[in-house]
Amino acid sequence: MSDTAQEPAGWQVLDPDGNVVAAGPQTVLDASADAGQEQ
Amino acid sequence: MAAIDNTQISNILNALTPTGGTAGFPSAFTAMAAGIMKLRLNSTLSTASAAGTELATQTSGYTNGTGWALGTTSSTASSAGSAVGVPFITQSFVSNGSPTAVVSFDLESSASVRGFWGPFNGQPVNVASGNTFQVVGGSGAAAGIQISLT
Repeated sequence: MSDTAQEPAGWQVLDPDGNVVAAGPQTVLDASADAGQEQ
Repeated sequence: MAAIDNTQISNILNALTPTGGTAGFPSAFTAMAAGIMKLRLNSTLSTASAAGTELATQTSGYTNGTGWALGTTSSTASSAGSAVGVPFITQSFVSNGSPTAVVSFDLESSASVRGFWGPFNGQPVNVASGNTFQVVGGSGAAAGIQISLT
């Protein structure tokens, strides 16, 4: 059993055969998290 | 990073504070058009004040000015402060190689009024001609874009 958390997928790039050639995690917009930090 | 269009920030703030025309009343909230919302994809980074440069029309699956219409199934509604996941159904396009990079998105009304925006995690995402770029769909926390106000 692995204790490594599986990060949910956000996007993928597939080749014409349907193979995943690149992928990235979810984009999380936490609209209030950085309030007050923006320059 | 704030992820809400500046106009919507003011819209929310004014609707929840005593800023109305009648002393002490809240301002009216300006709702988005009652129509199918869409995801606009950009080759440059959007900001709180403006959308990035929209992708050109691709080989299939993405039309400039139309974007990805999200009309098949609504996202799961927020409850008790939970995040909203977008899209519910996986969205994809086949690249024509121009441009080859996907950088950011804007979630817009059917009238192209922006609500939320953000960069894709790991951007720029290079998509060679003939390859497919897709944003994973799902219910709630499974969707590729998570929008939260907490």
